[in-house]
Amino acid sequence: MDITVVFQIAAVGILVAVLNQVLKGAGRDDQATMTTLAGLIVVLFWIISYVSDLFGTVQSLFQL
Amino acid sequence: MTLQIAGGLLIIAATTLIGWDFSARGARRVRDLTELKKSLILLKSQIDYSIYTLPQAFSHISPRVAAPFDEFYAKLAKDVEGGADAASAWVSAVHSLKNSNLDKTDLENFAILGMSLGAMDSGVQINSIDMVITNIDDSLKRLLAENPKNSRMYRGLGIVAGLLITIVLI
Repeated sequence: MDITVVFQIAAVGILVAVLNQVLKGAGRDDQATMTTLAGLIVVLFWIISYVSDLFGTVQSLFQL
Repeated sequence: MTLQIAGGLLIIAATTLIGWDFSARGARRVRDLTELKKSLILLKSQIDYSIYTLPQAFSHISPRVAAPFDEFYAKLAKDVEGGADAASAWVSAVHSLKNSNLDKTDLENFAILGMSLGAMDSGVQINSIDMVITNIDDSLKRLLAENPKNSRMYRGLGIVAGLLITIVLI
C-alpha cells in the first residue's frame, strides 16, 4: 500500500475540519455538514479499493 | 514534481483571489445600494420640490450620481423623451443594471417603482419612492451586519478550498 494515501487522508481531514469551523463561524451550519460529508465521500472513494483488497485477503486467508 | 508544485500553487493562488473577490462583493453591493438610495432621494426632491417632469428629473439626476446609475438615468431620460411610457422604460433600464453589484431582490424592489412612475399623482410616486428607500435601508442594515462575517468566511474558504483541491489532485 502506498503510504502517501494516509498523508492525503490526514490532510483532507485537517482541511475539512478547518472548513467546518469557518462555515460554522459564519452561521452556515448546513453547508458545514455538506462539506464534511463531501470530505468523507472523497476519502471513501480513495480507500474503497484497499477495503476491497482487505476483504479479499480475509476471504482467502480463512478460505471462505 | 516541480510541475505539480507549480500547478498546486497556481490553484491555491486562483482560489484565494476568487475568495477575496467574493469577500469584496458585499462591500461593492453596499456602495451601489447607497448610491441608489442617494439617486432616489434626488428623484424624490425633483418631483416634490422642483416640480420637474420625469424626463427633466432624470436628466438632472444623471450627472449627479456615480456609475452605473448615471447611465441608468441618462437612458431613462432618453427613452422617456423619445416617447416611451415611463413604466416600460423604467423596467428596461433596470434590466440594464444586471451587470451592477446589486442582487436580484434589490433589482426587483427597484423595478416595482416603475409601476407608479408617470401613472399616478406626485403624492403616490413619492410614497412609492419612500417605500423603496425603506427597503434599501433594511437591506443595507442587514448587509452591514453580515458583511464582516461573510467576508472573513469567503477569504478562509478561498485558501482552504485551494489547498483541498491541490491535495485531492496530487
